[in-house]
Amino acid sequence: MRADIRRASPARLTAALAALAIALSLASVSHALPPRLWTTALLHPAAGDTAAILFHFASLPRAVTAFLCGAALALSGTVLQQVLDNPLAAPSTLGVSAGAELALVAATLWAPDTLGLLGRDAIATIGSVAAAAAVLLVAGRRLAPTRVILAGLVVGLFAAACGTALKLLDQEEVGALYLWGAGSLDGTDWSTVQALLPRLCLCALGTALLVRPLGLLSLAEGQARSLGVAVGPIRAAALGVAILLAASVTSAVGVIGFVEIAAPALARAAGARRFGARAIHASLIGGFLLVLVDAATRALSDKTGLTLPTGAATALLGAPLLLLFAARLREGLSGGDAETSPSTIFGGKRGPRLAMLGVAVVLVLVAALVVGRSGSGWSILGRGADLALVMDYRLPRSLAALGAGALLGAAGALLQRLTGNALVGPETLGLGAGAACGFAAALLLVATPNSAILLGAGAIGAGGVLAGLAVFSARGGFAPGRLLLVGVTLGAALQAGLGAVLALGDARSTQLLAWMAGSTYGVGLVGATVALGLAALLCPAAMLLGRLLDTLSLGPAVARALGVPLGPTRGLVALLAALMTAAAVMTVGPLTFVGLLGPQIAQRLGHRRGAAGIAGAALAGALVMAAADLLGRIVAAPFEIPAGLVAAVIGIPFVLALFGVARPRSIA
Amino acid sequence: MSLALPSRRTFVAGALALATGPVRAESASPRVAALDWTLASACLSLGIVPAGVAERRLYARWVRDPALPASVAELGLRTAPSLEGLAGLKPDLILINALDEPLRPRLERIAPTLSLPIYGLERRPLALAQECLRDLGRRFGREAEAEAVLAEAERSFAHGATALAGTARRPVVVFAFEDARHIRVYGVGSLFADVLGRLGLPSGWTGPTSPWGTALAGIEAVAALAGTVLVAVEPIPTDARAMLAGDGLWPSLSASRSGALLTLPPVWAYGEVGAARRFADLLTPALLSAGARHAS
Repeated sequence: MRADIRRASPARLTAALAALAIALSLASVSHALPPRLWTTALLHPAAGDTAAILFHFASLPRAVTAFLCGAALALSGTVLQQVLDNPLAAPSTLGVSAGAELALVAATLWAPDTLGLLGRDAIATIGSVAAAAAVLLVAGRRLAPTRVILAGLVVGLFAAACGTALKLLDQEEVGALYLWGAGSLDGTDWSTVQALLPRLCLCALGTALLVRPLGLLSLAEGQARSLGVAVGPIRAAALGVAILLAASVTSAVGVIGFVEIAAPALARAAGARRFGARAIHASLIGGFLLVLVDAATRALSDKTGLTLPTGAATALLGAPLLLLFAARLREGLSGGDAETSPSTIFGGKRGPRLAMLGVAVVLVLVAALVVGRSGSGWSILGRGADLALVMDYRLPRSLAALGAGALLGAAGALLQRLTGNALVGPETLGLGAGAACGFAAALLLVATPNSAILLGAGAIGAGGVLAGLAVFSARGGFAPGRLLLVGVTLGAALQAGLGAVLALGDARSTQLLAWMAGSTYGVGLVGATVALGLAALLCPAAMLLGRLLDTLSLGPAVARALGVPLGPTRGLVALLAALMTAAAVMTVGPLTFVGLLGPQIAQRLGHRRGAAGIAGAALAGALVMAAADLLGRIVAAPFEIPAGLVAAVIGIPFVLALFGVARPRSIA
Repeated sequence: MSLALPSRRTFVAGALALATGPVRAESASPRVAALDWTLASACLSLGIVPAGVAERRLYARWVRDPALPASVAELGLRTAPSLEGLAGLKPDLILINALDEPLRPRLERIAPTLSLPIYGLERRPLALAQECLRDLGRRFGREAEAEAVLAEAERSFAHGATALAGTARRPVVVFAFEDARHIRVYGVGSLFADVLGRLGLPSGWTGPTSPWGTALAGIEAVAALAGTVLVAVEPIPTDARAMLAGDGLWPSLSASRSGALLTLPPVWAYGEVGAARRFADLLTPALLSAGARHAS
């Protein structure tokens, strides 16, 4: 099958997809309305004729919308992949959908009038563009591909964390936004098409103008510059077009993933080599692909009564395709990029020792035990709070936060050593999303699961991702790039699956969201002991691997010369980091940013190498998590803000600030 | 607490108590903390004001009736109530729903914790809500109040069934607008569908539903519901209002329908006996006047 595609020309693949999509759509329409009545229904649907009205006002515009959205997303993906020189770059990488969602949540909760005044489209577009602008600003003037992708990841997670916190505070009001998040084409009529068409035409025109200069970008940057290509402005213009395309689709129908990656990949596999050809074929393939998926989803829902939002369906169908594709790639996200490698991004000042971090952890722990707040005011130990209360409520959750933070920090340090990339956290491996999917499955299958079932299901989910990571990245000897690629892919696929569960919009979505937000909330002494125990067990193991990692960081050749088996060591490090992440995520949820933050704080303090670096990262992680737990408990009391979200909201701007001040050439 | 005039309900309850037995000394009101809005409203209908409720502000917006007095303490999020605040309240009883079960071990250490099932796989919320009210009445020594509330609801159902018996009694589809393109339909397992049954009206939505009796659908789904009466429960989102006033899919479809879209003021869709009675009391006159318009 794959060989067939390779031999086929892009035109043949496009034509085949088009035929299939049109045939399936027509077949489903002819079921309701005989073909001889189509012309009348198209031109003058009779007022009383339901079938004709549906044909005119629902089926037809829905198919057109699906085509437009698919084509726009594919085009956006193609442009981004060309600019960022990365086959997995996608609008969602730039935080477009997370930004749109945050804007919609904020508008729904705080200024519902603006929804009527400006319309949802406008607000979502503003959010998308703002998020993407933040990404580009953070990424710096030269818009180096790796920096753009990592900045996009960070900004996206930040918007998602803020959005989730707001949603948690008002479940009923934002119900419809879950549906939007899962990307639904239900209920589209010509007004959707009218809103989309002009914007997409404009963007397509912009892309057409950029075809030649973008084609030259595939040359090495220096070469392109010497040919007189203004690299910066061209990148900026192309990114602008790609963002607008994706923002238009997202604001109109919600989050639809995978088309943006799958369609360009298919076009390339079918032999569309040059950028211009790829843009045209990818757009057509993307358009027909979405029509096909939408028609299939609706046929399934007619037959079985099982309704699946179109965006969730594309994710479920696209994920296997994408994994195959990732497995075939020889290289993934660039590994040791000089601009973001741990030693260059932060000027290495000699700083205070580990002891200072340890003291800070103790201070935060004491504060967490002494200070509390409820609806009726502050309750300080000795004044409004007795020792029993402290032992019962404050101690377990603080200890659990410490344990989870240490695990995440150390796991982050391991992964950053492994990938040689300072902006990689355990969160990017998809383990958190895996655990969340297990949790979601338990909520769907068992009506009222207890905590043991939930924990088990989460562990199975994280374990599944771990197995996927092992299977798909083993072939490359656990090369860092491939590991990341597989992790990011798995994570995105599972995230889309979660969207489908959240779209149910009933009490189960609330439960899932509350868990994903990551709270030390329900933890008892047993849970706290488990989290701390795992940290005490696994962090020293990570430190033992520190020396080995230092050897690895000297480069594959040196490692081989020293007789360190490269593949197995990488596998072991990845396994340990994954285990630590899964253990922590079970307590504090998948959205924290502590795995990214911990190592960076340690590096700032001068602990960059080996065992000390990992111990420092673990201590810093514990510190951030415990402080986040304390803050989340008192800031909005009696409303609990989950510690995971607090850590993300306070941590990410810090990360971005560090990112911003880092000088590309300041080698310590 | 402010002094309030006795409502019709408490007056009936008092009269019943007088008629059926010796006057019971007013037992000290138990301190109840309710993490579940539905059980909170059940308590209120029995004349028991909860000491604390989770997400008070949203209760006022979504449940509305019976209203929460200002004395009720805020406990925080329904999914993550402030445990310290809860412990500080020193409740005699904590009321939760089935989804809070994972919290039970923590809650039991504060006070006995009770979960009374209404929604779930049994899909008969009205009957379960009636049992739940009786159960609470027994626990709090307020059997008479419980029976009075139940009897009042029965009267509403009976009144509605009698009044509607002479009409066409077309199947009714109850739903809420999620946004301009989606509706949440209440089918088998929803409180509204159970009330329709008590009013002698067939439910027009026969598709599969969640354990809360809900199903999500695109607005084009109403096309398949020929011969039904469409009843939208408010609030209607701003963008959905704009859609209804436009000339797209929905207006074209509804032009071909007999009878306009009926809208009802907000009723808590996941509620208990009080919400069921309120729904019946709102639906009956709406259907009668629509039927009268249709006939003329």
